[in-house]
Amino acid sequence: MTVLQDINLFHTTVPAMNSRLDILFWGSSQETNQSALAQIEAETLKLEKAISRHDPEAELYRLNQQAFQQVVKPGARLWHAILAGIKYYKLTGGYFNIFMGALFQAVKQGTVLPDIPKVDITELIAINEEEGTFRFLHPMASIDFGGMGKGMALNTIGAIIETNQIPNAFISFGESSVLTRGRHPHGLWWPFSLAGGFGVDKVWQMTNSAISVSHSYSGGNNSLHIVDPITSKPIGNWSLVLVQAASPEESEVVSTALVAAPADKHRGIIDGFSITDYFVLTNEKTV
Amino acid sequence: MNHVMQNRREFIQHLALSGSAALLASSPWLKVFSSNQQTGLAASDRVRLAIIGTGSRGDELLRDLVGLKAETNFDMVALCDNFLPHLPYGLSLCKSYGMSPNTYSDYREMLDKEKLDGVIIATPLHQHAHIAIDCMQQGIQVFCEKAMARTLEDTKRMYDTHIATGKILQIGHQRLFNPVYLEGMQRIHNGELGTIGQIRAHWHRNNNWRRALPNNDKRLEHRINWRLYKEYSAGLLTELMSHQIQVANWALQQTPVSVMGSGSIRFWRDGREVYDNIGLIFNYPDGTRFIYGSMTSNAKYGLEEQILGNLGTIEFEVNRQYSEEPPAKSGIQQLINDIELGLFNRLAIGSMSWAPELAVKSQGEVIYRDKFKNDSAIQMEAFIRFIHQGFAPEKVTIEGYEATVWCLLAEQAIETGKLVHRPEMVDIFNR
Repeated sequence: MTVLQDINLFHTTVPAMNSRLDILFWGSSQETNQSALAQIEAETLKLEKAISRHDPEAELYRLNQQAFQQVVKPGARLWHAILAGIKYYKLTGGYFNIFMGALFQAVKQGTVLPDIPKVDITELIAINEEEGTFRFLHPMASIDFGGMGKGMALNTIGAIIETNQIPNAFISFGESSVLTRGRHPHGLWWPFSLAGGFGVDKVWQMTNSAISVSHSYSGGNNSLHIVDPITSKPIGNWSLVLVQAASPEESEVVSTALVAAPADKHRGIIDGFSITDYFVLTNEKTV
Repeated sequence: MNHVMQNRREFIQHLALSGSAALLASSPWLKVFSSNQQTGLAASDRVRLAIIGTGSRGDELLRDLVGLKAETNFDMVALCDNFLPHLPYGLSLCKSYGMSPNTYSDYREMLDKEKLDGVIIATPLHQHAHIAIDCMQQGIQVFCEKAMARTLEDTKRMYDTHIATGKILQIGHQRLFNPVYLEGMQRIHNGELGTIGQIRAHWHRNNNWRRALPNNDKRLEHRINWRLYKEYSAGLLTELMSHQIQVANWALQQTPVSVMGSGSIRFWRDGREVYDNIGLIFNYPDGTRFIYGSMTSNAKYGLEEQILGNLGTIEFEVNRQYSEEPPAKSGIQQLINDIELGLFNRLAIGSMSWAPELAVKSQGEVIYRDKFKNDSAIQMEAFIRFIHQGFAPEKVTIEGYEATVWCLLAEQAIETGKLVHRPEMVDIFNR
């Protein structure tokens, strides 16, 4: 029987990205684990200070306040994230949109909104790629990385794990965005299934991979959570999407987009990314 | 110690029946409740008490005492206050509980005429020392409100008299008898918070602190508003901070080595001499810092003591303990358990997203689940029991002594603008 000391199991939980970040390593030295942990904490903090829309000390928070009144120039990390958001917008046919943050927030808070006309991204934001600047064109425009932020963090964490040559890792943001490396101590992979079952007896076998799970409803109060970026209306149907990919960022982006998009758009979205597997449940039916 | 209790009586019974050895070892003043000793029901065993200083605090203590009357064998035989309008309320209250104390305006006359076992001193601060010393020298056990005295010299004299006479000198730090603090301190001393790095405390009010003068008689200004004048009081330091420096010392089980600070009269510029705004840093030998603030022109943050360790935090006034490490979600915990057991089970993921409570926003864990919080009444009962047994643990004196010393040294730090170290003259241990 494998005992913990033999495998040198390391686990800690830290608050990050408005979630709980669970970090589990095994098979590496304590010194390596502590070094990697320190790097992970530092890098996730840097990321949060760049892309958080809630933290008044974050760069994005400040630019969201300013960008409708003036042209703004983000730092490199935030700029890279914005460009990635634009890329994902195009790849998902507009079903992934980081520029409607104010609308998303209003929906989550249950604010009654006037009908918002359908807007294209070009009506929300003006980008100057040469200058590295942008400006909002619509008063409802604001940037929200809620649909890709954890994926970005997991990408960074994956790089740290590789740099530190940690052979086996399980990294989880709130058990809905997960990155794995290597395998489970007692098997050849990390085995996952859906919480709640939903009548689905599928086991995802993950080694060096990522999974993201998105829902259209959130939290204990089962409030509406996802907005259709095309129609600007909240998604009224219940749906759950699981996406597995090599890139945590892509898995999160695609799972978010598939919740927002109607079923007939899913295949087109999937084909734009390198997705290993995906699974969609909607109104208790498997798609 | 987490019982659901309804009143002081149950708390004391709980201590008598099941006070743990660890609790009693760390809080020896509670041992007086732990035995089922009879406190003496005969008239000859009755503890004869007097209160010297029947102003607002003296009346509060009297109300606590009369509440004990049905279960505790004591008699209030005298009340004394040199401001006669303070006496009728206390007299009336005692009579409503079947006691008929004599009243005096001069405590010396009272000591001459009454046969007393114990006195409760609740006068203005500058009067504590000579009254307490006179009482102890006449063989009377003493409970004295905090702080001990107005000057370091008087504080030391009180302590020396206590040692020389062997009489009880219990100082009014009622948190020593508060279940939340007792439980919390056990947890701190057991290492649940890890290494304490800082203690932060504040006591903010938004009021004048100035009392109305009877008949607007200006001659009574210093008598009624003694807390505003440096001759009688160190203001926020001795009247409020003394409680919280006592809590800090108790938590750390050590006393500071130095203090720095600053103070001003920022808002209440009405002729008072004491500061309405103070900030202090106390330095402890192991590097811990106690950081303190108090003001009387903003009450948003009220009163709190925050014990900050690398593993967690305790906030006493809101009865909460917080962990630095948020608990893992159940799925992760199950994964770890499975690994420990050698199991290769699937991990369920993707439950409904939720907004997790971050450590800093956590509601925390309640330290002590009980409605009863009248620590002042418990400290009064303890005093009566101490008198019955003839002694009190030295800790109830030392806690008050050190709190007073550091309040007065903090005053020096503010006045001089310098880092102030403990002077030898206040040492009471061999160093």
